[in-house]
Amino acid sequence: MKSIRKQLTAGLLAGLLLLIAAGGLGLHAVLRARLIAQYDAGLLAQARALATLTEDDGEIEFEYAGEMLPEFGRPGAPEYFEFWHVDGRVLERSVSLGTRDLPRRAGTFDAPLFWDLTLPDGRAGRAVGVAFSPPRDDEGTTAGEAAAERRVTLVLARGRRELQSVLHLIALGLAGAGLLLPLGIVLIVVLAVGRGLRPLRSIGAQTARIDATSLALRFPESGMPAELQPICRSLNALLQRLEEAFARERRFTGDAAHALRTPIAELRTLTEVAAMYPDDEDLGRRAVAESLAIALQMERLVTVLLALARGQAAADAVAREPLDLAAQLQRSWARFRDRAADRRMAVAWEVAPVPAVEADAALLLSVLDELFLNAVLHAPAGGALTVQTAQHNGAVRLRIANTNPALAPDDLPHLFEPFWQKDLSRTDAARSGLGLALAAALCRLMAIHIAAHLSEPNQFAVELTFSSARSGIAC
Amino acid sequence: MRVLLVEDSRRLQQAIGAGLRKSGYAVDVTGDGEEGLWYATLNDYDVIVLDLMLPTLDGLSLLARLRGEGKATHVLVLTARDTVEDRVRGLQAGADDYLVKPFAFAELLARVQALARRAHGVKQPEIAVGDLVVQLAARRVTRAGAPVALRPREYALLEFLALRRGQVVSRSEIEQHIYDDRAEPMSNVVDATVYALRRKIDRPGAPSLIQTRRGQGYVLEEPTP
Repeated sequence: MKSIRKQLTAGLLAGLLLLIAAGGLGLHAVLRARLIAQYDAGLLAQARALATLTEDDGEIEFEYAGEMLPEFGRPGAPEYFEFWHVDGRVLERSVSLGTRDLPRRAGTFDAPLFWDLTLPDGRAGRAVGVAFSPPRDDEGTTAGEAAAERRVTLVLARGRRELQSVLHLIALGLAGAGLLLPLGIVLIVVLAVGRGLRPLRSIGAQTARIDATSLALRFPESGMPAELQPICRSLNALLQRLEEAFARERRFTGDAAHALRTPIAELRTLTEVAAMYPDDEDLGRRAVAESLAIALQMERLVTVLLALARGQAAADAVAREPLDLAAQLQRSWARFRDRAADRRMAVAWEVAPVPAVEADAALLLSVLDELFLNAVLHAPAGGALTVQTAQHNGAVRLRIANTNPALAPDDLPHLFEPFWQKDLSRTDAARSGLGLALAAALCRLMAIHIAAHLSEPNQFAVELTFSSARSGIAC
Repeated sequence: MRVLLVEDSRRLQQAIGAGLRKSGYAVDVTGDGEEGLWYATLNDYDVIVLDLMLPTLDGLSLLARLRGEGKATHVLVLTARDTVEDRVRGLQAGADDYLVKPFAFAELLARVQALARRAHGVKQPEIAVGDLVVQLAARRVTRAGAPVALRPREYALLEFLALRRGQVVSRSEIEQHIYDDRAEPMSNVVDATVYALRRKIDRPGAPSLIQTRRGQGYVLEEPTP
C-alpha cells in the first residue's frame, strides 16, 4: 500500500542526501583548490625570494648564505631548491640536496609551473619551477650577450604533508558530516512529515467517525493548511449532498409509509368489521370488493415506488427508438377519454405533424398516462384540457395543459417531488402524489426535458421537450 | 350514543361507520372539515372521531374552533401521523385521545366506549340498577345474573338511560343520542323501543325499571316499594 508519509520521507531523504553528497564533494573541491592555491602562493613567494638572491654581473651568481635560509638545511624535513643555467649546468642547489637533483621544469613568474613530486628524502612534496633572468649589474655586464643565455631556472620543492593533513582533515570532517547529517535529517524529516500530515490524519479520523446519523458534521476549513482547505471544502460539499440525499431518502420513506398506511388502515378496518359481523352478508361483500380495490391501489403504489427507487439503475435498460408521438398520445388518451367526458372536460387536441421522437415506447406511454391522469384528476369538472405538439429549433415539444385553480407559483418547485400534494388530505384514493414524480423520473431516464408552468390564470401545463427528434419521419 | 365520524377516506367512513352502527352507536359521517365542524356544533355528540388530514379545514383547526366555541365533546383523533410531536400537538389542541392508523377496530371501539362513559361522568365498566347490570365494555346486559339479549338500538337506549340513571331523560335527548341523521325517527319510535326494552328486562308483574314521567321523559331506577 502506498504511503504518503513513506513516499515523502524517502523522497526528501534521497534528495537531501544527494544534495549533501554533492555539496560535500563541491566544498571539498573548493577548499582543496583554495588550500593548494594558498600553498602554491607561498611556494612561489619563497621562489621569488630565492630569485632575488641571484645576480648577473657578467656572470650569474647566487648569494647563498645557508644560515639565512635554515629551512634548506634543516634535518628531517628540509626544503629543496636548485638553480640551473640555461645550458643545464647547475648554478646552485640547497644543502639539503647534496649532490642530488630536482626535476628541471619551469614556467615563468607570471605563469609558474607547479607539480607534485616525491622529494629526495622520500616525502611527498610539491614544487614550483620558474625560469627568469637575474637582475643585471651594469658595470659587469658583457655587451651583446644574449638575454636568453642569462636566464636561469629555479625549482623549489618542499614537503606537502601539512597541506595533505589539512586536506585529509577537511575530507574527514565532510565525511563525518555526511554520515551524521543524514541521521539528523531522517529524524527531522520523519518528524516534519509526521507533523505536516497531522491535519490529514485528523481529517481521516473525523471521516471514519461519519455515519448516517452524523452527516451534519463539517470539517473546519480555518486552521487547516492551505493545501488541505480545498479537500475540506470538497468533503463538506460531499457531506452536504449526502445529508440532503439522506433527508430526501428519509422523507421519501416516511411519505411512502404514510401513503401505505391509509390503505392498510382501510383494509384492516374493513376486514375486521366484516369479521365481527359475519352474518351481515352485505357488509362482507362490500368488504371483499373494497379490499380488492385497495389491493390494486397498493399494487400500483408499490409499482410506482419501485420504479422511482430503481431510477437511474434502470437507465441501461431503456430502449431508444423512433416513436410516433401522436400515436402514443392517442393510445394513452384512450384510457382517460371516458373519465374526461364524465367530468365534462373541454378537450382541445392540437397535435401538429412533428418528426418522430426517440424514446422508450413503454416508458413514454407511462409518462403520458401519468400526465393525462394528473390532468383529469386535478382539473375541476367542466375544466379545459389542451394537448399541443410543435417543433422548435429541431426539438419536439409536447404540452399538456389543464385548468387548475388550486396551484400557486410557489407550488411549482414541489410538483415533481414524490408524495407532494397541494391538498394534504388524501380524499381521493387515486391520488398518491407520485404521478408527476414518476413522470419526471421516467423522463430523466429517457433524457426528455420535463417542466411545469402556470402559463395563464388557473392553467397548469406540463411541457416535454424531446431534443433527439429525427427529421424525415413525420407523424 | 351518538358519534360523529370526520374522516376523508371513503372506505374508512364506510367501515368505521358500519362497525360503530353495528355496535349500537348512532353515527353521522362526513369527509369534509368545514362540514364536520358544522355537524359538531349543531349536534350534541357523545364522541367525535376526527381525522387530522381533511379537505377545506384540517382536523386540528376544526378542534381548535370547536373548543373555541365552548364545545366540550370528547374527541378521539384518528390519524396516520404517529410521531410524539404529532400526538402532543393533537392532545394540546384539545383532543381527548389519539389513535394511529392502521388500528384494530376493537381498540377504536373500546376507546370510543371509554370516551362515551367519560362524557357521562362514568368511569366503572358496568352500571347496576337493582339486579340489572349493564356491562359497558362488553356491551352485555344481565338481569339477576341471566343474560338479556337486546338489539343494538335497544342496548343503545338502555346504555344511555343507565349512564344517566336516576335522571329524567327527555325523548328529544334520546332521539339526539340514539339516532343519527340517516334515521328519521317517527314520533313514537322512542316509545316503541322503550316498550320492547321493558319486555326484555322487566320481570312479569313487577314494576318496570324504566319509569315514564309524563310530559318529561323516562328514568331508569330501581322502583321504590
